[in-house]
Amino acid sequence: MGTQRQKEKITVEKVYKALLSGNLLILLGVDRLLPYILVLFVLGWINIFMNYRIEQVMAEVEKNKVTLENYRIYHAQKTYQFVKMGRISTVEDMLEQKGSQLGAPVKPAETIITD
Amino acid sequence: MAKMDIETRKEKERNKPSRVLMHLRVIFLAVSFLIAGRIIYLQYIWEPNPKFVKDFKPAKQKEIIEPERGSILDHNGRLLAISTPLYNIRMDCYVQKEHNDQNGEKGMKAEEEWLRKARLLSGGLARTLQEPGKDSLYYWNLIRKSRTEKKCYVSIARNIDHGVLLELQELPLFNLPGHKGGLIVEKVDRRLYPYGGLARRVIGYVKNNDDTSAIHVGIEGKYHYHLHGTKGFAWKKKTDKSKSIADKDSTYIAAQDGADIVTTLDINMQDIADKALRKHMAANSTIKEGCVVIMDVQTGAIRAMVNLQKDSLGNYTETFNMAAGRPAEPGSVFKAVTLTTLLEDRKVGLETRIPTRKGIMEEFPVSEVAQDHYIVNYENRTGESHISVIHGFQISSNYVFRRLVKDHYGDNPIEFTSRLHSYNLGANFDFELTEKGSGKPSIPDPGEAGWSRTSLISSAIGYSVKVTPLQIATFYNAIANGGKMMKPYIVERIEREGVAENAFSPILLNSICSKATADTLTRALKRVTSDGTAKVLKDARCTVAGKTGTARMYLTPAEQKGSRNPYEDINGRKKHQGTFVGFFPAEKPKYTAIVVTYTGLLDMGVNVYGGAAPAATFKDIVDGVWSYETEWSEEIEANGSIPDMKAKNISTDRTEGSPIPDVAGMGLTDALYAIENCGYICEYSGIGHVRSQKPAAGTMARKGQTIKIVLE
Repeated sequence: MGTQRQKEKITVEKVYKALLSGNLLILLGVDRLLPYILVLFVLGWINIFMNYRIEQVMAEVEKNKVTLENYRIYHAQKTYQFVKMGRISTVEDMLEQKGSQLGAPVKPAETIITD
Repeated sequence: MAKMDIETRKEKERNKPSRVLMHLRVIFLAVSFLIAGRIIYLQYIWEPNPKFVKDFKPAKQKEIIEPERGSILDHNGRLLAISTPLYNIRMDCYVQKEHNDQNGEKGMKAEEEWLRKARLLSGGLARTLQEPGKDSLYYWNLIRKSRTEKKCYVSIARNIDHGVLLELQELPLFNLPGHKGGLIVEKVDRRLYPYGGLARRVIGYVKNNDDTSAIHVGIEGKYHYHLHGTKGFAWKKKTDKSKSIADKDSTYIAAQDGADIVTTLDINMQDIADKALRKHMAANSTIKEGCVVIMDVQTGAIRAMVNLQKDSLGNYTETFNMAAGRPAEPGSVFKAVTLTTLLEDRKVGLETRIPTRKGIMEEFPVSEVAQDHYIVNYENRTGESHISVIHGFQISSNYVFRRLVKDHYGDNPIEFTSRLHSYNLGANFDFELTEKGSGKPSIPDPGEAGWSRTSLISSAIGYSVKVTPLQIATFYNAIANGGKMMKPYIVERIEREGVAENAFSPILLNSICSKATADTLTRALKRVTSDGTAKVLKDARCTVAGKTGTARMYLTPAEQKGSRNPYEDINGRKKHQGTFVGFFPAEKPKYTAIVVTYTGLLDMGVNVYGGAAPAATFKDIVDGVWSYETEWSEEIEANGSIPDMKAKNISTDRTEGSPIPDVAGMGLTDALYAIENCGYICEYSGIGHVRSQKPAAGTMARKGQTIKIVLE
């Protein structure tokens, strides 16, 4: 059939008639390319879908960046607060305010020698 | 045949497309040609109005990525300065009001609901922010009034941290999505200093990474280039759902965060020195300013540098680095410099005796060179007419040192001043921290402008020369280090993400004297603290070798008020600089320290000596540093055996039916963690390690039951 079709001469009249009768694509033999067209369509669809998913993932990445940044800020501020509280004189003042007998060491810590 | 023709014609008629269908096909064909033509036209010929292009194309935005300013750390890695954002909270109090007003009865109800939530919000704000004088009613009135006045940008709180922000975002109205609750959060980059005022002049200060107002101050200023980092940028685009994402097709330059500066400071020592100086400045109202430097003997690394100024309200601030930026006549602490020169040149020994001559330099009139009353007292007390060099040093006699220098260098003063230059006392050490407007250190030379016939003997006792406290400390540090003078430095390394980019090693400036001279001088300095002018240090927790110094200070022209004497105003009032400088432990020096105090104008007869507040401050510093230094800890033999700890697999299972964990042998912290994370309550007695537990390990118990443990 295909060989026969190839042999048929395509004239302007035939094209015009095929256009009117809706057989243009068959006349041109495009039906043989249908599997390729379908693959192309699927690829196009996958491309659009992947782009959409990539955008979704990137939006998620941006959201996570903000979350990470918030955690980083939170961590930095907690570190700041802990460091602030660790100052020797602050600890001494806090102990004094609480009425504790504990104060600054009066001699260096002793080293225990074990065998 | 005819019949066949008729049949064929009928067949053809049937197969012939209907007229309507044909028209439709033609129309569709024409339209498709039109569409194709239009597409080609739009694609290749038509040019849109540039004014509207930006609205039709997906929006791209260039986003500047700010670098994070590097941190400043002490030499143990403790944070001295850190950058973190803080938040300013504002509120659009007019939010939804217009909408509610236009919506009739439904709107009225919505408005009532809004106000009810605003009331709850006010209570929450008062509880969370806890700002003095701002209670629930304050916030309620503020919000209500602002809503009436259609205010859309009302300040609620400033500089709150992230934790408080999270709490605020949970409050009624503020927990509504988007802008519906009226919450406006503004992020502002801030520089935080966890240790508050400690070493602030040394660390410096900036508000944020781009603040250049105080950029010349301290480490923040000196190392701004390293700390700042490099800005980056990225292009952002909007997705179909209006979410902003990175446009990977465009240029992206990552920001490079600033490097961290690791200093030589030890913040514990800084705290000890700061506290000691504040204590003695508070106890002595005449002292207006003071500074302390602590140096590591072997390396010259600065471990603490305190600079305190007392304002009229009695508050202490660090506004000028006196330690590195205020050269002045040091007074008697300079006698150690003179003695080093005499010893090194083998002019005298410590036991060399010289005639006392009532403490008068006969070569000069008493109006020019005053009589030394310490010598008069010495003569009266001992009946002796001669005094040893070490005794003269111990009682800090001006006469002894004037006489020695006059006798040994009078004919060739340049020999003496050259020695002083060789100690690097006349020049800066290229120290990292400088102060704008600070004077220059100077050692006068014979023949120079300002050199007079008394200059040589004045230099011998610390007048006519100008040196900074840091220079004096560096000299004494060299004595402690066996004569090797180390360059003082305050930055140990510049690092990025924990990896050193640039490390600064200790630098040996020169060897100022022999080990023997240094040892001899140490002996003389120990005498000062055991029997001399700094006896307060006799009771220090470790032995100190050092020297006191008291010097009159030059008055400013405004303070002199027409007086011809640069040290006194017209009422005879003067200012004193009191100093104590030394090192400890004297036998094996680890640290050198200097304490300098500066008074305001003192009434006649009032004196502030280096042996008083400065020496007492030094003692507090020595005691504090000694207690925290593990290097000097005593070693004790273990008496008994400490059980070896073995790893135990404790599963912290909170579900019902899990057994009680075995905590035998654990310390209290671990035992508490294991028991309470298994859902039980722990009661303990004793100290040490867990000896027994009740109920026994492995038995089943109801969650919430008390487990008693005994430690021994």
